[in-house]
Amino acid sequence: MRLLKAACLSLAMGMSLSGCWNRTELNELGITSATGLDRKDKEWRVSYQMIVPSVMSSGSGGGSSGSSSQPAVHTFSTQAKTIQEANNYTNLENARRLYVSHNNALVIGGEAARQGISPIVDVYFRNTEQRETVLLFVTEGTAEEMLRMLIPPEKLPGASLAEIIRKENETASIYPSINMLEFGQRLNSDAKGAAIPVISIAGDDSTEGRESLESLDVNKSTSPPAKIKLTKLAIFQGDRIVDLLDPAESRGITWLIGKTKESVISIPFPDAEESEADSQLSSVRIRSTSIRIKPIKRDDHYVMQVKAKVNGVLLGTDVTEDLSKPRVIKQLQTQLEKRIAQEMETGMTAIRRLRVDVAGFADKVHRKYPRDWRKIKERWAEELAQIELDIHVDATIKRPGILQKSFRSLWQNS
Amino acid sequence: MSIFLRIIQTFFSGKRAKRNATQDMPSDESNSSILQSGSVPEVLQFLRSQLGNSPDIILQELGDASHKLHRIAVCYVDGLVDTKLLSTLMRSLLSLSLEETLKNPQPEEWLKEHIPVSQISVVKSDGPLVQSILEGQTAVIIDGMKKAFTFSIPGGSRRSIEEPSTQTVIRGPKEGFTEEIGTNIALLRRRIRSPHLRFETRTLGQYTQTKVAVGYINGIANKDVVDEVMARLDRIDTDSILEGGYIEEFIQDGAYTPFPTIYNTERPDTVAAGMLEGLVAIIVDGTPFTLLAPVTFFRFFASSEDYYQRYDISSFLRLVRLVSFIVALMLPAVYIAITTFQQEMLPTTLLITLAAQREGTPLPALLEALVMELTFEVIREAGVRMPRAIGPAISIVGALVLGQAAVQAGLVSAAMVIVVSFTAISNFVLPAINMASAVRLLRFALMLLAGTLGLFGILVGLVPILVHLVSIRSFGVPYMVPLAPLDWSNMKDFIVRLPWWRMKTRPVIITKSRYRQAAHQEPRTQHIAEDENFDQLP
Repeated sequence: MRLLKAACLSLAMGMSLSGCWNRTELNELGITSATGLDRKDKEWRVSYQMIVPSVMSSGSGGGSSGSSSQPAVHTFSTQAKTIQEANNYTNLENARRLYVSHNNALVIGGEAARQGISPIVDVYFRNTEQRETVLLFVTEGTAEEMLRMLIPPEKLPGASLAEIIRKENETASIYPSINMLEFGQRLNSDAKGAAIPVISIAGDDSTEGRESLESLDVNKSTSPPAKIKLTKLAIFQGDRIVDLLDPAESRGITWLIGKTKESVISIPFPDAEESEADSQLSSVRIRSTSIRIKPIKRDDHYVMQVKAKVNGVLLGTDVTEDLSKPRVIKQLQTQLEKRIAQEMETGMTAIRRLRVDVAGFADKVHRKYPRDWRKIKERWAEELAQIELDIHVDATIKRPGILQKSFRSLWQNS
Repeated sequence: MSIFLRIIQTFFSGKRAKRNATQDMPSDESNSSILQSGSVPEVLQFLRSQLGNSPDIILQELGDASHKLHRIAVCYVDGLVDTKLLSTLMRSLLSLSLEETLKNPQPEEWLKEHIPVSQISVVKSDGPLVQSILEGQTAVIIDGMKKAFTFSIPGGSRRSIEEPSTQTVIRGPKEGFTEEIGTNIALLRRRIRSPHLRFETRTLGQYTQTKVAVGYINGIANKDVVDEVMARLDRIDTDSILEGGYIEEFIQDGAYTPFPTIYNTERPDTVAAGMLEGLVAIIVDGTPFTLLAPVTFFRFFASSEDYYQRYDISSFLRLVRLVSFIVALMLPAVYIAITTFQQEMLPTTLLITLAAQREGTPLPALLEALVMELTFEVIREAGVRMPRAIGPAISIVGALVLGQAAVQAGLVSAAMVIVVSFTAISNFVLPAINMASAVRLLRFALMLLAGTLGLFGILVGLVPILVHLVSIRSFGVPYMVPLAPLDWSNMKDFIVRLPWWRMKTRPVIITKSRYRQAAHQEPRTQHIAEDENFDQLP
């Protein structure tokens, strides 16, 4: 009987709980697609890009007609001493409960990046609703402004920002993507260096150009005057930004981090090595890479032995020689190997110049020479500047295609 | 679940007047039989008083001038006897020399020789006389004889054997049971022509006097189970048995469970297959539904067609049924839980799509689901009960008004309509209707739990259901066999049905008789036409 009473009671309590626990209907959620964090007047300025679901699906199927007159996101910002407090103030101007689990992109403003972003990392690691898989971006201006921009053919700028870096990683591998979890791990490692891609406005950077991106009118033109674009790679020493790298250096760093997946590399044909301008160029798509970096101690200094295995596919060529001959392919492969080694060296030069261990060499040295590590730990930055690379690239070019000669050779030889 | 049931139990087990079902029955015990008088008018008088003046009861006196002394009366119920045979019977009775009948020391033998009716029996007391008339026998009373004769010439209109309407198959026999127990037994006998097929009969129900036959195969069925079935049947003391469902509720193991522990079917082949695996069939007169016991949970996912089709496709279909069972039980609950509590489990695009649909819907997801589910139950019930002529009207109302229009009016979200309709369709995939109804009830409980506690609530609901499932039994057999207790030997005919030649043994848990067929019967390729034969061809 006691059991029965207890059961009845718990049942009654359960029923009355309805709607009182953490129940939230879908239409009470403000699903955010991107978050922006800025420092302003020594306070945190939090910007949210909230999805307007009713715009997203037009109800009668199809969905992506884009005929709606309302943008699919709504952006607003609040400011307070801490990020959490600023979050709290969002309810002053927003009817919905902000829901950040589906946040795709986190844009860090330039000022915040300069002053240190560890409070942001703390927010993401401490709370359960924020996901550590959010992709990080840095912008030189304010994040608030970036969040207001549309990325024209897409409806959700935040989601498309994340999608741009994901696709870039899979096909171009110029800027390595990084999410909050990786960033936190990097800060917590021996290397203490991290790289975050930078987004900025490309094209018409004037006020009109920027404003044109903030309204749906941008959809009316085939090529808007300004665009959001990945332009640089921000190097972080600890939680502060140190420098911005250009694409070439960034690409080298991507190789050294080991994040290169697929990419296209143009290689000059051996004969015309010196004057690249009128050389016969071929382009190779890197299909798969495997990179192993091993530290080797050589007279008190460290050499990083980089062993890379690269598989590529010939996409196009101007080479006049017969591609069916193994000698030609072999020459192309050597050329590709040289080119990749060059790119890695470019990245390494940047690392030596900045003395920031973005590639995580410190951890590798620590793991292999734990005793030495204790000694050199303090002066790792100087040590880093002296590190040499010992690069062995083993590149294979497969599938030259069913055309054995290039079209250029056809008309030149006849 | 069991807590619910215990509550119900306390309701019913209270101070209930214990009524003896037999106490207000007409007493038919008369010390001295009226038949002893040997007088036709007196017997007829008695029958009239017993049977009343109903128009269907015919008490007919035969006789003409030559039979002045010895009169014959024929008593039968109109509509239960074959009229053609009846007239033959009457003609032969009239041509009978009654003097010789009376003189004969063994009158029934004499009658059998002269009257072309196979079943003749003698009745010496009043009660059986009345009873046999009511059962459809034709009673013949001859003046001067101190006993009556009953002739079995059953007839009248009854339904012919038709295709079962509830459990249709694409491949397999198309005949179903009828309302008449004799036909049903014959249908089974036609399938199992073995002397080991046995039927034991009982008559249940004080008023209805329903014939119930218990069928089993001697040697395959567990004798203890047969005895238990008989004992439970004998324990029934009620005034009426109109359908197998009455018996099912009296004899099932646990009184309080939403899950059926006795299988019912309209298909003779299903019953035959069950009996060949050691099950006991309970055939009830007056209904085409025959009961089978003991059954396990997973038998409700099998259709008789599974054994007629190729084993690969039947295994796949069983998997589909199991998935449908889970969908029918849990889909609305999971939808409610995820959309109101665990939104982070949805992919972003799906979340946005669902959120867009819910934009502007007035009801919370739980209420929306409950309303839609109840609406569907109403439509379904209406569909079963309504006259066939207005069927199309209801389907238009159901499909258009409650589906499309409700979404367009913004009352319910389109996703909810999809969820509810898919749940409803999944429910119909289950071959056994009684299992499907159990799911229907439990679904509502799970929806309420999901609406209050989210996915955790679903777990809170599922665990007691599972505990309940492993605790119930059907005639001593654990319900979840072969899953719990785990029994590998019975897995051959579980979710996956192996080919027939691999199913060498019967389900061991039910029957003690193990082997059903010889081993190593797998088909092999035979080269019937050898190469040299081809050479010889012209």
